[in-house]
Amino acid sequence: MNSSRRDFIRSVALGSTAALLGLSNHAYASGKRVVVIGGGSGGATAARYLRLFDPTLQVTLIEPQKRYRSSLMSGEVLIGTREASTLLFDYLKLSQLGIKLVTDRVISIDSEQSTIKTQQGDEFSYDRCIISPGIDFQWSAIDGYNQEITQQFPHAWRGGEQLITLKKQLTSMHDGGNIIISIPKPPYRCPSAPYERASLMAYYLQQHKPKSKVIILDANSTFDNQRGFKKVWRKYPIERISAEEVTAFDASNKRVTTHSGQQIKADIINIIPPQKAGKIAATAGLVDESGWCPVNLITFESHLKNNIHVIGDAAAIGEMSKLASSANAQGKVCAAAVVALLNGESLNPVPLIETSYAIIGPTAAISRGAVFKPTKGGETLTLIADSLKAKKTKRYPLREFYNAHSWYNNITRDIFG
Amino acid sequence: MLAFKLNQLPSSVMGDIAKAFSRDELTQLADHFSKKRFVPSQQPFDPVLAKKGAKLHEEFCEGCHEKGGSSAKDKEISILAGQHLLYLRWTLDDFKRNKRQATRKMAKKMRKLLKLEGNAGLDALAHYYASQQP
Repeated sequence: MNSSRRDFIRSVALGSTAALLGLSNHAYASGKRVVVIGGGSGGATAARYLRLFDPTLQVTLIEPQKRYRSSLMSGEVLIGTREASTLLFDYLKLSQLGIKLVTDRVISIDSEQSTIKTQQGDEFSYDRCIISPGIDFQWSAIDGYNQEITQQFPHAWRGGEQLITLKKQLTSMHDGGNIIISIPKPPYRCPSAPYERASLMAYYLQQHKPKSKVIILDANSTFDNQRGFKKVWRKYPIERISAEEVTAFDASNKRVTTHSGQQIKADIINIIPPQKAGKIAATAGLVDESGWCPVNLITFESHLKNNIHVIGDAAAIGEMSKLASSANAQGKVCAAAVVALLNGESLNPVPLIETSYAIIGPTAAISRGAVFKPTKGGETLTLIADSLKAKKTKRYPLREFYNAHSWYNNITRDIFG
Repeated sequence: MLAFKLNQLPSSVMGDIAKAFSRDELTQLADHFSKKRFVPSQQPFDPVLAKKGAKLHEEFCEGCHEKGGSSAKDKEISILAGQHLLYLRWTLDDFKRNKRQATRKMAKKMRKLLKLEGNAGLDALAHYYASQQP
């Protein structure tokens, strides 16, 4: 591995983008083709860093949407303290970096022939492929809850239109109405986000509909940063029913049933469905019985298909959380690994950092940072540092609120350029 | 980074992340960042506060933080001019609350400033440093 990239990887691990400059001077002349599928946090980061590490690479990014809609900070849009337009990111900077952008949906990957087919009928060949397909939902997990019904009962777990629908429901609900948020068992995208959403909706109710409340039906008995959340919930109209999994949904009566047989009605029902790897990952044969994609945790190469790497929410990453920041870290590490593999260089295990901020009030947030290190062969990740496990510290919700916004600006710049 | 690792500096997630890295790795990081040129941040600021801050700086801070806080001559003395406004304000607050260790001289100056101007003095200083842009 060349020394610039080795240095780079160390600073990547700290979330820095600073060590890039030396890399573009390195004389690779491979001209090899890497196709990146999916332009979210993982895919956009990987595409960008592939070109930064090795400008001779032909990098193609295939993504169905012209713009990325961030779920980060979407809670603030939900309660009206942020404009929805600030969640949109285009791919202009990536294009300026020499990445070929294709606005299309991948429908199949042939790993024998190393080719990819899209909905519009185009075909792409690759030397290596990185896929970051995000999540899909387990539609059969909850009786009566399906994809069609989400137009009226949005999960809003991928932002976009559903987020706006949920926002409208929240603002138009009568004072005294109740909201159910149901939380699935892990792994699911962004472990603290349901609790963030519950906090912000409860804050909104307190301000605008004081007779209303949020009821959390949580399939889990405990959750990360529990103490921090519960502290603010003392002030909010919020009730959490622990270890109670929603198993059925009755849309016409606006009622859910839990596994223990409890039936609860509400005016807004926000079911966050159980999740699995994005659809194309399954189509391409990258998914195992867990619903996620097993990968080597140093290279992120699939255990099931050669020359295809899976990053982001779809990858099976053990204890590491499915977060934009995790996908971002994996995107960089995977890009470095792909460049090394294409150029016949050796690989070192690189620590991966995840960071998440949850906004819990109009000027309050809490955070988690954790660092994981892969075992020598990339079999598993070991947690080597974790803010949740650290003794100390009096954290400042107000500071964390500003840190959260600053982090959002920085990480989206690192992803999209 | 070492101070973060040893819990000597208040932080968001950095204190815990830093613990994952060895001294040798932190040295490599320091080496890397020390070669970067400092670029003052382009950011909004309050010109009235900045003007007041300039006077306070001259009176209380210029003795060590030379050239309006932009001097990088002494490696032990931080560049203040052009740092992010919020970072400046939180950091001043950390010094006020003894969450960051100041030299005796700085602690003395800080006490004097706070006695005279209170938190408004810290606001003014932060805006003054933030106002220094290319």
